[in-house]
Amino acid sequence: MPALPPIRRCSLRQAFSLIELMIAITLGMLLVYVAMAGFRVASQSITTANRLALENSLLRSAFHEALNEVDLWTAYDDPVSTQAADQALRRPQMPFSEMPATSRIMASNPSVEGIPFTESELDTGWDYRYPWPASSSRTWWRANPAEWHNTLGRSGNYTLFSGIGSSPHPWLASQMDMLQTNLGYYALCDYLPPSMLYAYIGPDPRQGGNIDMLKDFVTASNFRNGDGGTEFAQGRYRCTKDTSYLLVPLKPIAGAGQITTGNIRNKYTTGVGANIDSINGFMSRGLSSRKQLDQKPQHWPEVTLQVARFLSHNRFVTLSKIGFTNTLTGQPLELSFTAIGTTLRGARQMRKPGAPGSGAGWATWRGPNETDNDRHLDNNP
Amino acid sequence: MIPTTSSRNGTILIIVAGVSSLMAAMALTFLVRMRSDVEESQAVVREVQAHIMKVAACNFIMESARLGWDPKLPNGTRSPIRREAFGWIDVRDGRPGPRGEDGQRLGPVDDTGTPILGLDGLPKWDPWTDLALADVERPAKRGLMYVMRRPPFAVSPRVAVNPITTEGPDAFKPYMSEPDPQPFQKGMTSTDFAQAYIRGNTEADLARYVPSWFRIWRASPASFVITCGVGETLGFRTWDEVVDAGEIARFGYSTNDGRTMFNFHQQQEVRLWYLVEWSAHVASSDYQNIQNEFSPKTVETYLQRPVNTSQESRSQGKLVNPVGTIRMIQRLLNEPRFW
Repeated sequence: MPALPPIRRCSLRQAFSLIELMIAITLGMLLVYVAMAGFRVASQSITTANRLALENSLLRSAFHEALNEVDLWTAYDDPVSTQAADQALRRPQMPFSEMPATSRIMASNPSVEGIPFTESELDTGWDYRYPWPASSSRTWWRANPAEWHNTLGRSGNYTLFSGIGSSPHPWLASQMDMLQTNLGYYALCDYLPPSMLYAYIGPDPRQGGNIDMLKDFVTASNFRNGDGGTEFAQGRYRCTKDTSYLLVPLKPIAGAGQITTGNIRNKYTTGVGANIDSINGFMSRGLSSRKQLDQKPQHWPEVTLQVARFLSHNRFVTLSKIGFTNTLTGQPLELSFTAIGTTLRGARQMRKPGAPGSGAGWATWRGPNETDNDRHLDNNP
Repeated sequence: MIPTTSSRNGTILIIVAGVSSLMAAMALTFLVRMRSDVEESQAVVREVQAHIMKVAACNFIMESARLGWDPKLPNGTRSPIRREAFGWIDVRDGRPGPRGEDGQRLGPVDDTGTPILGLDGLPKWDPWTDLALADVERPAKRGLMYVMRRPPFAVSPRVAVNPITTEGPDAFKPYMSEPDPQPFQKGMTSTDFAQAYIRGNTEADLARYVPSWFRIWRASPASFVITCGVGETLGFRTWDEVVDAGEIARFGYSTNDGRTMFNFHQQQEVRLWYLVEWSAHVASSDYQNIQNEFSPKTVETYLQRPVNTSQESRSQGKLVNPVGTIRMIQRLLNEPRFW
């Protein structure tokens, strides 16, 4: 029997059947699709993560900047800049103007046990070292708090003892007059103790030469709150109830033209009686607008930091608003917060004196008795 | 059985390995990114904590103008004697405080609670309040602000200690049968209870541990340098301070180890400096202190409405602030010589 040719089993495996081919192609396509989908999702995830990370990074940057601004006040005065516009609030009668030099005797440093301060009712200038001790009679407001402004002193005209000029107790009135004249109302309240009643004898603009314990500080506007027709001596809460006093920043929303002595002393209705116009007017003058990272790439999301400082309802408010756009949805978002930090007086003591554009720089304080402490805006020998 | 070709297994293996490595790379990238974000966020958290320390230090200055001067006996217990101060600048005569109701300095006491006298025969100051010491010798007050397991004098957050029942014989009767507020912990004997209430449990709550601290250095009768810190130095300025305080063990098993660790922590932590000024003056209670004006003359002009009143009640002002205010805060951009 002749030998049979060998079975060519291998030849059966040298090609695909149609079914095998279709299954292989289908599985292959499925695999490719899954891989592609996976790549796409992964790519989107990475992009999303990058965008969120960038957004977080920008938010952190803006938040850090906001905290710095709370302490440094550079939105109101940039002490290292040589541009006059960056120190516009150093002009006369502005909050960062130099305290006028006076020929007064500075208060002595207190001894440990003895009479702590050398004081005189005839002192006139601001002494940054004087702590206004509550025991000192010259810090006491001398008048009848129930007396109406144009009465004839029917409850006893104690006000004769607390006026400026030839009064035997002119010190407190002089401090008030000097501060509001040179720095404005916000500074008036920042510098004086919170217990202050804002009144003293002076020429009454409505009654000519008659004395008036409620002298208007300026004619166009005043620090008294007119609520209820009240015309007695008022403290900080009463003067700022429903009304606010602001500091105009270097770059307000409404433009640098808003930096005027009048706007800094203006009374803004922000509580009862406020309307959209009064609020808009207040915010457009009081809210600064600064973009973060001017040199950033175009495709990065926009982040802005706005700050406002104002006095309302007895509170000094430092408002920070961080604005940004959601990188995924395009929705504009805002993060607002208030913080406690450097006060106006502290900010002035941080700055060397110098005219606008002088770039005077930051003042260094090394210790209470150090001789190499820098001069500052309140320290004019 | 039909043998499979090894080339197909290899292809699948390559694909699976490729996809896996891709996923691993992406996961690693993501984790690195997340870690980077968290680290950057931690820096922000520490900065915010430092600013919170500023407020805490201001509160400490204000409260210690009046409170916290009860004699603390050397054995750690509290004396039943209660002392109250009258401000960093005494409101009665303008001398530097804190001084007690008898006008004497408030400071350290002996085993019996009697003030320790100085060379001048007068009670000694607590060193950190002693302005007679040279600036370089006057120590700072260090305050650790970690979260305690139970702070001293902790009260229960329970809101309604004496709820009014709506059933039974006492329905709708507002009995004050339990003291309100209640101490935080219960179930102790009266003796233990009092001590536990007073002392609390000052161990750190590790689940909420943030190494926050502040230091206060008195610069003048009413001004203070505040150092706000977040870091593991625990407010010690130098290693020598650690040694003097006997706290070496907090930083290492030996002096050398501890010094190295302290220096490491010192370089890592956030520190901010402020100059603040305290004042005894508090907000005026002038709101509606008279009925607007003299006309009509039928009303009493000296009646007051308190600030933030929610009703038109006629009374004296109700502003209560026995601890003064912080008049001025100044950020110090440089490290001051003394803090």
